[in-house]
Amino acid sequence: MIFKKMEKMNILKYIPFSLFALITFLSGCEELKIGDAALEQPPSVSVTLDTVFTKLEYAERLLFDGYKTLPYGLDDRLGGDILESLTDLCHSFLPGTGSGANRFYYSGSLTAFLEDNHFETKYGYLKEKSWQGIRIAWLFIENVDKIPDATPEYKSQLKAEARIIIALHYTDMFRNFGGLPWVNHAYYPDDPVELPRLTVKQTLDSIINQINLAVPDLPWVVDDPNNWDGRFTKASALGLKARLLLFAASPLFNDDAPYMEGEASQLHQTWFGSKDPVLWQEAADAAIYLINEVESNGYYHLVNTGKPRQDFQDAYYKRGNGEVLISTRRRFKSPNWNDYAFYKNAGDKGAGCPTQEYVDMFGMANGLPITDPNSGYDPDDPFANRDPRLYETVLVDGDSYQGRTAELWIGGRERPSVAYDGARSGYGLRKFLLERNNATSVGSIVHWPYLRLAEIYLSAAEALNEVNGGPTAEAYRYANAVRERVGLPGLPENLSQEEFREAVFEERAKEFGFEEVRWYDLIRWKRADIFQHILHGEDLYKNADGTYLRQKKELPVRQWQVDWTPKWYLSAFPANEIYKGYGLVQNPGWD
Amino acid sequence: MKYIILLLTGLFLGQLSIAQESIINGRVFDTNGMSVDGASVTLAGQPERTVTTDKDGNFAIAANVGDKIIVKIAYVSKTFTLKKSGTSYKLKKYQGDIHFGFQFKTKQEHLTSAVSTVFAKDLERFTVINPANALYGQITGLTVLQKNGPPWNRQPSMRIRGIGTFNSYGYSIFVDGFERKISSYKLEEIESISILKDAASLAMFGQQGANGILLINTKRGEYNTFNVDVKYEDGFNTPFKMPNFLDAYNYALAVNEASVLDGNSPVYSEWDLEDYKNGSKPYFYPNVNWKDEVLKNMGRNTNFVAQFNGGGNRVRYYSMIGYQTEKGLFNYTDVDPRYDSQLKYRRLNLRVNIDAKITKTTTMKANVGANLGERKYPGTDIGNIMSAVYNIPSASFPVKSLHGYWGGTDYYGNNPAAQIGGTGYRQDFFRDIMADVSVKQDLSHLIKGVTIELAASVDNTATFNEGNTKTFEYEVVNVVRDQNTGIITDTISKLYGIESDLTYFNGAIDQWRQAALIVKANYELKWGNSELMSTFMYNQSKEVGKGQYNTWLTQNYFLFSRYNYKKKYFADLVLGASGSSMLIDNKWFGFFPAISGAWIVSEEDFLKDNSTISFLKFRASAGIVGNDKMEHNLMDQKFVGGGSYFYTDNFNSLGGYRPDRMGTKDLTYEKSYKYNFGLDLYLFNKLSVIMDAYYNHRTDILVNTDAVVSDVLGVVPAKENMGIVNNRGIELELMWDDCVGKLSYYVGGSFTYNKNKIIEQNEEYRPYDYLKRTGLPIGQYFGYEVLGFFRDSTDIANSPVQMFSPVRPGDVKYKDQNNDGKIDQFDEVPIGYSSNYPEIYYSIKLGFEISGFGVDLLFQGKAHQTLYLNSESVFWPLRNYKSITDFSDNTWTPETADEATLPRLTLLENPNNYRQNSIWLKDGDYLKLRSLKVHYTFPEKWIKWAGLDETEFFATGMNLFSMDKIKYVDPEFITYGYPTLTTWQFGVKVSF
Repeated sequence: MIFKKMEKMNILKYIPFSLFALITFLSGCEELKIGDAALEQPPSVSVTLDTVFTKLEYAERLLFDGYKTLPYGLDDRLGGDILESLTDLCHSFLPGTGSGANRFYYSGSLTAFLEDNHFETKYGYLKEKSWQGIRIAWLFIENVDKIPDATPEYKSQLKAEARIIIALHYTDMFRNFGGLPWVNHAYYPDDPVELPRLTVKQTLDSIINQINLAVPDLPWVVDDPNNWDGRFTKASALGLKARLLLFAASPLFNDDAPYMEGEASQLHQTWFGSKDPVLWQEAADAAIYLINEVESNGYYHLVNTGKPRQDFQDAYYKRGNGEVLISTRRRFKSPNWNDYAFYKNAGDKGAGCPTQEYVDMFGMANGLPITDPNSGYDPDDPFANRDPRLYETVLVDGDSYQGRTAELWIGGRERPSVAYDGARSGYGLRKFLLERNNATSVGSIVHWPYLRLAEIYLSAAEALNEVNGGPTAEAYRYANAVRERVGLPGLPENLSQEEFREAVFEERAKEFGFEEVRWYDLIRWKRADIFQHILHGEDLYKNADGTYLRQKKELPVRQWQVDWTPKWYLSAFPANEIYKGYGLVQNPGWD
Repeated sequence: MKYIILLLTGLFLGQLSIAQESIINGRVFDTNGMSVDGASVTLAGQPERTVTTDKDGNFAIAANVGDKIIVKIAYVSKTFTLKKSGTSYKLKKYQGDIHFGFQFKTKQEHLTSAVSTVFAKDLERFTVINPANALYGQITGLTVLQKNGPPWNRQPSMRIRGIGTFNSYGYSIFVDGFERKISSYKLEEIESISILKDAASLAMFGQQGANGILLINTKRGEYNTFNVDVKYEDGFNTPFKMPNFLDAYNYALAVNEASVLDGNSPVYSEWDLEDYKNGSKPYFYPNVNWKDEVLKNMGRNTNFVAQFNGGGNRVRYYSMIGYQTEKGLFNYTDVDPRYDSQLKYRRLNLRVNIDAKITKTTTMKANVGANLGERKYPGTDIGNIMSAVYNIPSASFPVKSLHGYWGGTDYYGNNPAAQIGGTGYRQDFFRDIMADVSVKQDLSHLIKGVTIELAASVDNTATFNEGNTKTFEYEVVNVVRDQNTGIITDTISKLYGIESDLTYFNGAIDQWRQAALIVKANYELKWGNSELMSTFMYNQSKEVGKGQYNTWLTQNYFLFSRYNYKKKYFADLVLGASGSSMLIDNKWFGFFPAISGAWIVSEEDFLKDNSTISFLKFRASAGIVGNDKMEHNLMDQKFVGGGSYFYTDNFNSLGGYRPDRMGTKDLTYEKSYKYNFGLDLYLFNKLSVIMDAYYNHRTDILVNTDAVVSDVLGVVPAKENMGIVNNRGIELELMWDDCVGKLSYYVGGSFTYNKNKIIEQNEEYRPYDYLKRTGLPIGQYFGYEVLGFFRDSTDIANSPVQMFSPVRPGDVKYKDQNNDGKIDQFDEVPIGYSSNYPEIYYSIKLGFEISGFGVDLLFQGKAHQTLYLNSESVFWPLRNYKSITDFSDNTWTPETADEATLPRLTLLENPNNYRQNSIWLKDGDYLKLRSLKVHYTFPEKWIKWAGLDETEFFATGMNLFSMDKIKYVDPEFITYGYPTLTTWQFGVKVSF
C-alpha cells in the first residue's frame, strides 16, 4: 500500500517536470501555437485588387504596369530578333532557337499550331502582352473611382490613359490579325464564353471610339516632361488614330477583293468587303488635323537644328525631343552593354544585317538616286556623299566609328571573318546601337519611338495623294518637311500618283528603318513583289595594297521568295485558341 | 527489470535442477548488427528450459558451457554451442523492429503494411557525403538515380513507387520522428532507413503522405556496454566517364566538312589547317584540350569517424564525431597568389543520443545532432565553367594569349581556366542543429495499459556566404592573311574586360527552422487470445524557410488501432484528420482512413511444422492519403511587383503592380487511393521472399486551365484540382543467405516494375488521337520516326516536305504519320518511355566472408527510361561553332551514306535534324557496379594484446563501371556540369 503511494507520488512529481522541460524547450527556441491558430499562415505582404485602389500611388502603379505591356521593338520580337528581319531591309542570321525569323518565316514552316506554344512568332496572340495590357486597363477603368486621394480631373486623365493603352494594343492586333474579339471589361473565366470575332469595320470603330473617348481628357503636353515624358497626351492619341486610319484605308483591307479567300474573308473579318474612298479621306483628315494642332499648339516639332545626321539620330533616339508622339520604355540599357539581348543579338549575333537593297535605296546627299547618271555615285567608293540617314541606320565601311573608321572588310574589326554573324551581309546595324560601346551607350535609357511626328507628315502626304488621284502641293509640303530635316532637296515635281506613292513608300523605309514601319507598309500595300525579291549582301576584301575587292552575294533564300502566298499578310490565330470555341475564325491560308 | 527477473528465474531454476549448472548470459544479434529482442533461447532437447531475450538482445540461462542452445525468432532459428558469459550469438538477417513513423514500431512478422528498410551494415558499403547516395538499389520500391555536381550538391533524384502526380512528387523525410533533411546527416550515425509505401503506413502522415515517406533512425546506445569504434579512410575520386573532344586540326576539318555540306565554302583555308596541324602558331592557331587543361585526374576524399556507444543501468548513450573532406578536380586554382579557388568541402558532424530511465515508469530520450561545414569554389559558377569546358572547341583560343592575357573570343570571356583562376573565390558556411526530446510515462498504476508520450523537436539551419570575386581582362587576337599568298600580314589585338580588384561580399543565403510537437496516449488491452493496442495521437509541426511564402504548418489528429488474434490474424485501422496551412483558411482538414490486415499462414496447423516453408504471410491494405505539396497561396490572386517603367532619364524607375495568376476557388489537396497486396515468405531456412503489388489512384491533382480558358482573359487563369493519374506496380525482393563450413555467403536483390497513366489533365486540343498525352505515362517522350537520311536532291524532291528547316542531302528523313504529304508537328508519335522515371529498377547484392576476409558487391540497374541526347557539343556538334566529340565519328557524308548512323555535320541550327526523333531518343538502360567492398578483419588473438576488439582493413570502390547503350558518357549524366565520379576509399576501422 505504502509502496503504491510512493509510486504515484513519483509519477505526479515527474509528469509536471517532464512537461515543464518540454515546454521550456519549445518556447525557448520556437513559438509554436497550439489549437486552431496552428495552421494560420504568417501575414504576407500580398497586394490584392482592393489594396491597389486605396491609394493613388498604388493605383498609378497598376496603370504604369499597363504601360509596361506596350510594344517595345528592341526587346524580344520573334524570340530574340527584330521585326525588320522579315522585311527586305535586313536579313537575320540569328540561329533558329533564338529567332523565329530563321526558324519559321524564312523556312516557311510557320503553322497556326506553332502560334500556340512558340514565343518566336511575329506577333504572339498571348505573348505580346496585349491582352494583359487590356485587362489591366479595364481593371483600372472599372476601379479608378475608388481612389480616395485624387481629383476627379486627374482620375479622368488616368482613365483616358488607360483607354489609349486599350486602343494601342488593339491597333497593333488589328494590324496583325484584322478583325478581333472585342473585350469590353476585365474578363473572367465565368463570363459568357461567346466572344465572337468582329468584322474589320466593327473593330476599327470600337478602337476609334476608345480614342475619341480619351482625347478630351488628355493634356496636350505632360505636366512635367522631365519626370513624366512617355505618358500619353492628346497628341499621342491623335497620332495613334492617324496611324490606325491610314492602315485601315490601305488596300489590304480597303479594296475590291479580299487579299485571300476564306471564311474570315466572307465574314469581312479580313477586309471591309468593298473599296471605300472615304477611308482615305478620313486618314488624311486625321493626320492633317494633328499637324494643324501641332502647328498651332506648339511643343511638338520635327527635330531640326541644321545638323542633319545628329538631328536624325536625336529624332528617334533622344527622349522628350518633341518629335516622338508615343514613346515606350519597357527596357533600359544595362551597365554592361552586351547584357542587353538586343545589343547582343542585333549587334554580334546577326539579327539585324542590312541588305544591299536597303543600302542602295538611300540616294546621294544631293537627293538623286544612285542609279541616276548625274548623281555622282562612285561604285568603287559607294559610301561617299550619301543621304545622311544611311550612316545613321547602317554601319558602312569607312564611316567614323568608335573614334576610328569602321572596318567592314573580312578580317576587319567589325567583320573578323566571313562567318561572323554580326555583319554577315557585309553591313552592320547602326540604328539604336550607335557606337556600340560603353562610352556612348551605357547609362542611357533607350526608349522605343513607337510613333514619330515624321510619320504623320508622310501619312498625310500619302493619304492626300490617294484622295486626290495625285500629289497636291500640300502633299508635297508634308513629304518634303521630312526630307528637309536631313538636308535633302524636295521630291521631284510633277510626279504621277504612282510615282509619288512609291517615293513616299521609299521615304518611309529610309526614315523609319528598324522602327517597325516597313513590315506594315509592305502588307498594307500588299507588296508581294517585294516579298519575292532575292536579297543581296556584299563581301568586302581588303588587299595588301589597301584596295578593295567587292563581291556581291545572294543572301539565303526565304521560302516565300520562291513560293509566295498572301496568307503571310496577316498572322494566324493560335490553333488551340480557335478550338476553345469562343468565336474566333482563322485567317485565310492558315490551318 | 526484465533482465533482473530473468536472472533471478535462471538462478532459481539452476538451483532447483542441476546444482553444477551456472547462469550463463549472452547476447543475440543479427547480421545487420541489430540486437534481437524477443528471441527464444532453448536448451537443446529441453523445451521447458526456454528464456527470452530482452530489448537489447540479452539473455541468461542456466546451463553448462558447451551445451547446445537453439535461438529462434519468428522464422529464423539457429543452433549454437553455448560459450562463456558475455558471448554474442549472431542470427541470420532478421529485420527486428520495423519503424513506421511517429515512433511506432512492430516486429517484421507482425507488420500488415508495406515498409522496406535498409540497415547500417548495408549502408556502410558506401562512403558518401550525403547518405542518400548510399541508397542505390538498397530499398525495394525506392528509385534512386545519381546526379552530378560538386560535393554538396549530389542529392540523387529519389522516388518512392514511381510518380503518381504531375505536380511535386517529392516526399517528406522524417529523422527520429521529425521532418528533416537527409543531407544534414552523416551516413555512419544512421541505424536504418525505411520507406513507407502503402496506405496503412502512410495514412498517419495525412496530407504529407501520398508520395511516400522516408524514415531515418539514428543509432542509439545499449545498456551495460562500452564500445568505441574509430574509422579513418582516405581515397580519391576521378571523373566517371567524360566525352573525348576532337583536337584542333580534326575540329577544323569537321567545320569545313560541315560548311561544305551546308552548301557554303570551307571556313578554314588550307593554310589554317596546316597551322592547326603542325601547331607552330599556338597563339593564333591553338590546340587546347580544355578537359585535360582544366580538370585534374583526381581529387581527394578523407573521412574520419569516432563512435561511442554504451551505458549503465539507467542511462545509455550513442555519440559520434565525424570529419569528412573532399577536394575537387580543378587546375588553375592557384594562379593568383592571393587565393586558392579549388573546390573544397569539409564538414564536421556531431551527435549525442541519450536514453534515460528517470523513474521506474518514466523514460526520456534526448537527441542532439549537428552538421557544420564549409564549401569553397571559384568565383564563377561551376556550371558555367563546365559549360565552357564542353563547348569551347580546342581550336578557339589559347589559355593565355600572345601578350600574356587570358585568351578569349570576340563575344564572351568564358575562358574556363580564367573563370577558375581569375575570378576569385566563394565560400559558404553552413550549420544545421537538430534537437529533440521525448518523455514516455507509464500510467499503468492509474489505469492499466495506459502510457502517454510527449515529444518535441527544434531544428535550425543556416548558410552564410562570403567571398572575394573579380573580373579578368582577356585578349582576342585576329590574324589577317593575304588572300593570295596565305602570308600573315597583320594581327589585330583587342582587349576585353577589366582586371578588377577583389570585391568582398558576404551574406546569409539560406535559413530554415523546424519545430514540432507530438502527444500520444496509448492504451493496451489483452483478453483471451486477443490483443488490442490503440493510440490517440496529436501532432503539429512548423517549418519556416527564408523569405515570404516559405512557412508550412501541419496539424494531425489520429486514432490508430492494432488488433491481433493468436498472433496469427492481424488488423490495423487508422482514422485521422490532417490539416495543412497550404489550403484555404478554415478548410484545412481532410479525412484519412486506412485499414490493413495480415494472416500468418505458417502459424496454421497445416503449415506449422513444414520444413520447406518456415514462414508465410499475406498482407493487404487500402486507404486514402493526401498530398499538399503545391505552391503557396494558390487561392489568392496576388498583385505583384510588375517591374519598372522608365519615364524619367534616370534609373529611378517606377515599379508597377501586375495582376498575377488568378486564385483557385476551391483549392484542395491531392488524394491518393492506395491498395496494396503482399506476401512474405521464408523458405529452406535460407531464402526470404517479399512480394508486393499495388495500385494507386490519385485525384484532385492541380492542373493548368489555360488550355481551355481563352487567352483574352489577359492573365494566367487559376489552377484547378482536376487531374487524375493511376500508378501501379509490382515489387520483388529475394535474399539467399547461407553458410558452408567457414564460408558464409549471400546472393539477393530486388526488382520493381512501375507504370503510371494520365487519366485527366485538361489537355489542349490535339487534332489526331496519337498525339494525345492523356492515357500515356507522365513525361512520355514524343518524337519523329526516322526513316534514314536524304541521299540527294531527287530523294528530297520525292519525299514529303519537312517543315522544320530547308533540307539537304544527309539530313534526317522522317515518316509522314498522317500521310498528309508534309512532316510537321502532327507527325510526332510516342517514342520510347518517360523522361521522368524508369519503369524497371533492380539491384543485385552478393558477397561472401571467410576467415575474416570478405567481399561485397552491389549492382544496380534500370530500364525503360528514355534519354534525349540533346547536349550541345557532346551529341549535337558544331552548331554555332560549338565543340565536337568522337560520338560524331559516324556522321553522314556522300561517301559513307550507306553506313552512317548520324545526320551530316552542319554549322547551322538545323532544326530538322536536331529535334526529338528516334536518333536522339535512346534507351537509358544501364547496369552499374555501385559498390565493391573488400575487407579483412584480423583474428582476435593477433590484436588482443593491444586491447582491441576488432581491427578491419577495407577498400571501397563506388560507381566503378556501367553497362549501357550510351557508351560515350555516363547514362545518368548526359549533359555538362561537374562530372559524376568514381571513388576509391582505403581505410581501417578499430573497435575497442
